[in-house]
Amino acid sequence: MRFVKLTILYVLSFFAVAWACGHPPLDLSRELPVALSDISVNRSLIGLLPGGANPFSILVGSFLIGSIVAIFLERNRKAVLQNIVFGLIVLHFVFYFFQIAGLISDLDKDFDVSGWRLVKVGHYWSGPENPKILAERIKLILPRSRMKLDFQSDFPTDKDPYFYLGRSLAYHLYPVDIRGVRSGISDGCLFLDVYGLPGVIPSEYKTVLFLEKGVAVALKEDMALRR
Amino acid sequence: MFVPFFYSLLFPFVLGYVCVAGVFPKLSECLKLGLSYGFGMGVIATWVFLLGSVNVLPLIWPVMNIPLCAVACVLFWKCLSNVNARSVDIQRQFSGLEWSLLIFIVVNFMLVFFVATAYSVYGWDAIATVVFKSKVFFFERSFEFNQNLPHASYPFHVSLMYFWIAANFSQWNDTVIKIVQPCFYGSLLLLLYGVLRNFISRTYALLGVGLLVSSAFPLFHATVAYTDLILSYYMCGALWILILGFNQNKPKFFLISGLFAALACFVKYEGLIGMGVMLLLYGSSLIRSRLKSVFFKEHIRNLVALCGPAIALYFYFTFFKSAYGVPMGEPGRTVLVLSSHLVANMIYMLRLNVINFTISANWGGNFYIFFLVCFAQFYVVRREMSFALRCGGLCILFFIAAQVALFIFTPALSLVGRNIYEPMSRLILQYFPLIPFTSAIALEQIFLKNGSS
Repeated sequence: MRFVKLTILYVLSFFAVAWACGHPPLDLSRELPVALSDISVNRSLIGLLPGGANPFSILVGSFLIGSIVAIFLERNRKAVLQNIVFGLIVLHFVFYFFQIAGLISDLDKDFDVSGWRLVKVGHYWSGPENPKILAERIKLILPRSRMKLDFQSDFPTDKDPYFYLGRSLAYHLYPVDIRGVRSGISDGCLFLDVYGLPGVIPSEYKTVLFLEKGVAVALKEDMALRR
Repeated sequence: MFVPFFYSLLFPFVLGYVCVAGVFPKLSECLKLGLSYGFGMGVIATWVFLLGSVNVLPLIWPVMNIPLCAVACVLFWKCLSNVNARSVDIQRQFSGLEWSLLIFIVVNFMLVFFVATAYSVYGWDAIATVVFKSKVFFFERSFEFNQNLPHASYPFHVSLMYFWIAANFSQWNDTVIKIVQPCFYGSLLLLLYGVLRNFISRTYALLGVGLLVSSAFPLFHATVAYTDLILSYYMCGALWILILGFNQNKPKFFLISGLFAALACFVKYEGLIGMGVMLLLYGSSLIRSRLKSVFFKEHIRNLVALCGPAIALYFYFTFFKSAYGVPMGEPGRTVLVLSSHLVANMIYMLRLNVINFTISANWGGNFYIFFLVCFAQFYVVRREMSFALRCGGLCILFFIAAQVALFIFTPALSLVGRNIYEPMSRLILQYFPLIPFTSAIALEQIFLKNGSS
């Protein structure tokens, strides 16, 4: 019973502190998940709430207030310590529930749960410039599944986001090799946003795919004839 | 489609389980289950590596799987003879709190499994190196072009696991290969629970697992094709089994610990940090005289069990690299440097560590709980710290020191520059499961008047 009371105390103090910061419970339940949903493979960041408040400051504030009340309620030193530790665990789980709610709502944007399918392919599936889709289009026009192409681009492919674009395109195209994995002579060239594109394609190459954004695939004559 | 899927999903479990249960029949079921997937996948990846290094990958399916199935059958037979030795962890009914924690853990795990298998491979390292390598191995059926791949000299345990899954399907599928990640995550949870049950009661063991599950960053990493969570499983597994070996005075456990450490080194170079921490822990336990009654000869045997597998694998990997013309290290990355700003860099790294522990959303309130229970343990409870708690705390300190040293004595700091904060989260993830492990043990000491162990 003591721990049930403590749970209620700390949860209430969490919402009370948030309210004092200008975030009533209903608003908080909408805003906090959004602020905590910024997660990537390298870190999970805490976003600020609309008024500029940091969710961690609410967490710390509610822990302090809840602990002060818990200290007044209990005189036994060891029990006080237990109450404080328990309160921190409760707040940790409250924080996590908001965070996971944010992650699930973020997931919901990409995934149609009822239909069990991806509805927004752009973000997760393809990355910038949709390399997955581009790779599939290129593969369709190539005469063989295993080929080696040179890769030319005006994009600075040693800097993000083009660094990712180049690597992602290479990954999705494989076994069409544009990263020089296999040794030997190349069968053609892939041009990605190259300025003055038709002019830079060597004369011994035949263009087999030309897209709007200066994307082209040119193969050596003998290879192009096999299509 | 379903047969290869279930085969890929279950065979590593079965293989690992019969290996562990065949050699250590008296381990608890949770511990066996927790070790199974990692051990099975370790055996599979090492076997594929051995086959690939002698160029028999073209015959992959029968050559790779039939000997493994034979080993599994033989060990299964041995397990059947030991069936009476099994122990069951359900001695009493679950309380309401335990049911709540269990449901919380299971629901989160299901979410992880769903997300991991819903999205295709994405993320920088996955696309550029880890999964790209396995895709090349899959289509080329050879390690011949390894020297042309990105980070050619890096260990590729995880790439080989993805390769094995794809080989079972006989086609490349960006989504299916990721079933490895939630399986390792589930194994990590089971392993943590199994190890904690040896030190504390069921409620606190479940609470420890609940604390790990309620950290967003490990949960997220269980859904992407990155190596850090797998490394974390092997490194923390090696350390936990070592602590268990000390605690139960069973040097036989050191062999599992050594095997896990070897697999950690084969996942990533950072596995060497885990190896170093393991040796430091062994050394400090000698100083604390846990093994003072052990003769010198036995110490040598223990050290061989701990380091032997990693050294053997390292030598074979070095031989492989020289045979395939792969550089021994990454030029400009895997070298030792002595910076003139030693102290400044050290303070900078420690500060970043503290920031990451406290004001990131990676770990929720886990580090706050950890610091609070440490404070309570030292200054308020003042009961003698249990052995497992001391070991857990020491490991965390060793890891922080080793990772700070990593940035001071290698070019990593200058390579990463201002973005240092970002890879740091992944470095912390590698030892993070030790935090809920230590917290759970300390929590029982704080909440129970007569804490066990």
